[in-house]
Amino acid sequence: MKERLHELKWYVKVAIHFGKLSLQSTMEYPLNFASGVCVELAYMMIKLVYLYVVLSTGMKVGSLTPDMVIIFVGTYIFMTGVWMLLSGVNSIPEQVVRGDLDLLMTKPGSLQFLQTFGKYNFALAFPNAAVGIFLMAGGWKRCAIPVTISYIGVFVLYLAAGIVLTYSFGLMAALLVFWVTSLNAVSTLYAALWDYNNMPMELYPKVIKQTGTFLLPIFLVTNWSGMAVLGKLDMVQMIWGIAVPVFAFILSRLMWKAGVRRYTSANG
Amino acid sequence: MGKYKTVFFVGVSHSMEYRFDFFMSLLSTVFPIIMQVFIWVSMYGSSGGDAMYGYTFPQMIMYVVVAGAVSKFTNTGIEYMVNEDIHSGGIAGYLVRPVNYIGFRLCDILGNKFASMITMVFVTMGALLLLFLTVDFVVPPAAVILFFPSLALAAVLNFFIFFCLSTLAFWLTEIGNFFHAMSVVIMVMSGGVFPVSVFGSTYEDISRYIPLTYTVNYPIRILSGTVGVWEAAEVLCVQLIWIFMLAVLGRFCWHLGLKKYVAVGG
Repeated sequence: MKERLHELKWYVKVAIHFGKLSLQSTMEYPLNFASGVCVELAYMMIKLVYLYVVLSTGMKVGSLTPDMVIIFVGTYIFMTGVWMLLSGVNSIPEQVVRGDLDLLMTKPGSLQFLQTFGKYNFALAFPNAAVGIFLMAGGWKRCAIPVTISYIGVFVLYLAAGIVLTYSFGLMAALLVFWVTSLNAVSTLYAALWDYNNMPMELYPKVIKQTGTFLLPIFLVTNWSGMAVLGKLDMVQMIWGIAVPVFAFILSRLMWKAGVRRYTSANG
Repeated sequence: MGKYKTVFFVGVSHSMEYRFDFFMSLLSTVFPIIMQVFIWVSMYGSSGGDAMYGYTFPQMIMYVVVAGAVSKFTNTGIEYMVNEDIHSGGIAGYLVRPVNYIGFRLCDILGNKFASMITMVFVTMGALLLLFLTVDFVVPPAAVILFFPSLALAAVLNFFIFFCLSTLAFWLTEIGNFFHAMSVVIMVMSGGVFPVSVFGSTYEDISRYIPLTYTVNYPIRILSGTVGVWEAAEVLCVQLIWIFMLAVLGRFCWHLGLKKYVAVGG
């Protein structure tokens, strides 16, 4: 147990170092950082247009008032930031095709850790995280949700579960590169599925809600934290919201191992 | 003229080369459309079915169904091609050939868009049939007839808007992200996500005097029947005028940029 804890501490330390390195290399070219921020701001404009329509018309999404919708859109934007941050995950297809895993394999530590936590894209993550947090806090205030440890704790718990899901789903989508040649179509479809979270799942009919909860549990990424603090989760949903991220993480780990076994490289 | 015809047909065969990617990208436009349809269903449901932003419920559904496909169709990606040609030195190859670069790229893109145009005809017909069966929405035949030329002109207009922008690559080195951001902003401003009227009457008034809305918003308005036949003919004329003006501007910027361009290679 003590050894495991020591190992975990080492990985956290290394991850922080990788973070610092990524930040340093990003700031080496400030114009690139600024242009990355601009791209994300442009995409954010689309996300915010949906919210603008809801707020300007005062439309209710299922049982959710426009103020409540702000929390969900904020969570979605924040999670998009997390997805963008994990550039180590998003660059797997390119790394595999170029044979760049060779060098990582020779380094000490878990290959999955080195690849997926080795690089971060702060330029794309920063605007999303900032606006997401701002919207979540604003929506929280407008909904008059009590600011207590239990409410914040539950929200953060499901937010963390969403982060684990973001990592696992992104990883699984990227790992398909070990089985198919081009991932363009898969990436486009995954991004389109992800965008379903732009609005709370209450917007959709029952069949889409159930598909997005049980079959392809993409709604769990951004809906559960908001629903938890608004008292809209029953016991089964609460348990499901914790079980799915754990299961998805294990599945992505197994998929990683299976994928790496298929990896071959020939370099000169 | 023959060489440009050949470029067009090369574009056609190139577009057919990656059929799976094309259909998958078409499929990926379906997901946001579904989301938007539910937003409007919910919104019109709570408003009691009255017209919103100048659109009745069936017209709005038609707008969001067709908007995704139209913005995908009119998006040419010329800015990335020009950027690549300028920074890799590739345009040197075109400068020594007896071709006009702008004409070459336009024919290449129109050829590439040919398969999409055919698909668009079926997608539009399918969407109209679906709307007729579900919400009893009837589109006048004149609107359908005028829609397709306005769509083709929209693609050409979009080509020239982005061609003018792409010439900035002569002066700026790292411009890829700028193009990316601009294409998203232009898509939203041209009505590719929501009708322009959603952004308020001020922007709607301004949008009549800028070319952006003539690439997505107006062609769909023609189809949805929110503009009459004469106004639709007027839209086609305005599209032609904008194409001419931007073609002149694009040519001017291109020649200005070429004076700055230096190719060094072996």
